[in-house]
Amino acid sequence: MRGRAAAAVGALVIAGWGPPAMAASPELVIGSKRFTESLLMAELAARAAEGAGTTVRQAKGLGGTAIVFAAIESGSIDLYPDYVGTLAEAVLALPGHADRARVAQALSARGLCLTEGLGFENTYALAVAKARKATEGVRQIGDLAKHPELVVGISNEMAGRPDGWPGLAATYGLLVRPRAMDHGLAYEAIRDGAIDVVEVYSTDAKVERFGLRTLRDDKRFFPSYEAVFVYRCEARARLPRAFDRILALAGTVDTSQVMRWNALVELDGLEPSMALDTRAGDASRPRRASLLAKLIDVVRTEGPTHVGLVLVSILASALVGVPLGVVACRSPRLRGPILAGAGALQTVPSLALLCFFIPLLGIGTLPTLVALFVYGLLPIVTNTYQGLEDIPPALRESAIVLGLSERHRLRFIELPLAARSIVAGIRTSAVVAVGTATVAAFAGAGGFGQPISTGLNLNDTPTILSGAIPAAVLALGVGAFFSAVDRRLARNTQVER
Amino acid sequence: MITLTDVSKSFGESVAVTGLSLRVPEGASLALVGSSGSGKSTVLRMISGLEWPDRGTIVVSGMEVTRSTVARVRTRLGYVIQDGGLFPHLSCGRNVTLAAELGGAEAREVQQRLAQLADLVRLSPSLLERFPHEVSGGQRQRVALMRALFRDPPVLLLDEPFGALDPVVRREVGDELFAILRSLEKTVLLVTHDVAEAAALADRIALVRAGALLQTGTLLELQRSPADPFVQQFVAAHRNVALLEERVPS
Repeated sequence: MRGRAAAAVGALVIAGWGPPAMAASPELVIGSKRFTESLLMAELAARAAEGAGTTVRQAKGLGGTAIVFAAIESGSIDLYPDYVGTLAEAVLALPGHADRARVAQALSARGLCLTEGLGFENTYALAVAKARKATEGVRQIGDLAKHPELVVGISNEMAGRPDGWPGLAATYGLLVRPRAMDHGLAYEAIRDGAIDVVEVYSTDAKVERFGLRTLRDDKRFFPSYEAVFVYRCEARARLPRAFDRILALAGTVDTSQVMRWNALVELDGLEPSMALDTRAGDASRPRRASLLAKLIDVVRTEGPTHVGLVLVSILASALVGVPLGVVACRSPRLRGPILAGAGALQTVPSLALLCFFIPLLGIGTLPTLVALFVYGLLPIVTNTYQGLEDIPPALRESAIVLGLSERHRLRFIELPLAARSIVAGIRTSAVVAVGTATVAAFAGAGGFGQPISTGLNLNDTPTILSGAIPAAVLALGVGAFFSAVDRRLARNTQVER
Repeated sequence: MITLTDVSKSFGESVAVTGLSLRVPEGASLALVGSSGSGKSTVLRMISGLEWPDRGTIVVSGMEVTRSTVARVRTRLGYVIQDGGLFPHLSCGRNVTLAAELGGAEAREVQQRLAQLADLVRLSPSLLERFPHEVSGGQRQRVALMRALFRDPPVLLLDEPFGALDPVVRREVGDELFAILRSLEKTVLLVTHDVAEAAALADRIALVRAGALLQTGTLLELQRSPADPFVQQFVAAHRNVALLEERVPS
C-alpha cells in the first residue's frame, strides 16, 4: 500500500516535471476552457486528429482565457477552440470589431495560426419565447423598436457596458427600458412571463429547452464570436495529416447542432464525447449518474492526483520552510526578509499565482505543485521560527553548557522542542493545500477541482459535490491525522511542573 | 579553581557586575549570596560563556574563558541551571547521557556511569526511564545533578539549585544532596539568595549587592564583623541559620 502510494507520487512528479514544450513531439496536445462548448469543440478536434492516426492528449477545462492562452504561447498545448471576438478583445485588445483576418494577422506575430470559422457563432443575442403571442412578429432586433411595451431582461454586465445595452439601444433606436437581472434567473423569468425578451448566448442549451427564438442582429451590433481553432503554426508542420482533418472541420458545425450538444451535456449530464455520438432526434437519453456513483468515480480517478499534489507540495514546503524558519531564528539580519517574503507570497490569490507560473512552467502538475508549495511556506516558516523562539532560555542554555554542537542542539533539543509548533504549521499548510489544490483543475492538473469546476459550469450540484465532498473529507482527515501526531508529541514535550 | 579578576558586565544602562574579583581554590566551595537582581547569576553565565564580560578576565582550572577556549572550558564544568533545565522531551536517563552519547562515548560505559551516578544521588534506576514531568521536583533536581556530574568535571556551578523546590521538599532533599555535594570534593561556585543554603553548602560566602562584592568570609565571620550595615542586615535576616550550620558536618 505504502509502496503503491509512493509510486503514484513518483509518477506524478515525473509527469509534471517534463519541459513545457516537447520538441518535435509526435503527440498533439489539445486544450480547452472550462465550459461545455469549449470541451465539445476540443473533443471534435481530438477525434479528427485521432482519425489521422495521431496520438492526442487533452488538457481539459483549463481555467479561463488567460491560462489557456499562456499555455498555447508557451507550447504546453498545440491547439484549442476559441472565438474571434474573445481573441480580439480579451487577448489581443484590438480596437473596434476586428474580423477573423485581422485577428489571424495579429496572432501570426506570436507564432499562432487560426482555422476558418467552424460554422457557428456564440455571440450575445436577444431572444423571445416562440409561443408568446405578444412577440410573434418579432424576428430581428430592429423589430423591437416597434414594440416599446415589451419588457427586456438583460444581465447586469450588459446593462453597464457601453458596448452593451446603451450602444444597442442607440444603434436600433430602442425605446424600451431594460430590466437588469441575474443571467441564471432570466430563463425562468421569461418562462413565467415576467419578461418578454431575454439576453442569451446564441448557442446556449437553454435557448432550445425554454422554447426561445433568437433575434437576428440585422445591423451587426454585436461583435463576431465566430468559433475557430487557435493552433501553433509549427504543430501543423509537425503533424500535417492531423491538421488536414482538423482544418476540414471548418464550416461543418452549425448553431443548432452545437446547441443540441450543449443541451445534452448541460441538461442531460452526458460526457462531451458521448454527446457527440448522439444523433439528432435520438430519444433514449441516458440518465445522469447518481451522486454515489459520481463520488466513487471521482475518488478513484482524481483522488490519487489530489492526494499526490498535496503530499508532494507539503513535503517540499516543509523541506524548505523548516530550514527557512531555522535561519530566521538564527539570523536577525535575514529574519525580516524571510518572514516578510513568505507573508507577501501568501497574499497573492492562488489563481493569480497559478497564472504567473504557467508561462514559466507550462500547464499541468508542475505549476500547480509550485503554487501549492509557495502557498504552504508561510505557516511552516512562521511556526518553525516561533516554535524555536518560544523555547525557554534555560533549556537552550543547558544544551549549550552541556557542550552540544550547534547541529546537535538543533537536531536533538531545539527542533524536538519546537516540534508541536512546526507540526501545527504543517497541518495548517496541508489543510489549506487540500482546498487550494482544487485550483489545479484550472491548470489542467486534475484533482477534486475537476468535477467542481465542471459542475459549476453546468450548474450541476451533484457533480460539484462529487468533488467538494472528497476534498472536505480529505481536509478533515488531514486535520485529524496531524491532531493525532500533535497529541503524541504533547505527551513527550510537557514542560516541567 | 575559579578566578575572576576585575570583571564588569552591563546590559545597556543597567550594571550587572562591576569590578568583581573572586577566587575559589581547588576543592573549595563558595556561595555567591545576594538579593535577586544583584548580578550573581550573571557571574555564573560569564564563567560558562553564556555571556561575555565587558572587562576583566575569568580563569577556570587554569584556562582563561575566551571565545576560542569556551568549548574546552565547558568540558570542565558541571552546570545546574535554576529549575534544573531538564529537556522535557527526553527521559531522565537520556537527559543525563545525551551529551556523552553525542560525544561518541561507548554505550556500555555510559550505562555504567549512569548507574553509578543514580546510586550516588540515591535515585531509583527505574525512574530514569520516566520523563521529567513524570517525577517529583526533588527527583528532577537529582537528575539535573547527575547530568552536571556525568563527565566528572572538576568545577561545579549551581544556580539556585533548590530554588524551585517547595520548603518541605527542599529540607528533605536538601540535607541529603548537601552531604553528597560536600563528599565530592569539587570546586563549587553556588548562587543563592538563601543564606542558610549558602552556609550549609559552601565553605565561604561572598555577599554581592548591585553587582559589587561587599564581603567574603564564613557565615560566622560575616555575622561577627560585618563590613557594612547591609551585610549586617542581610545576615541578621537569617539568624536561624546559625543553628543549621551546626547541624551540617563540615
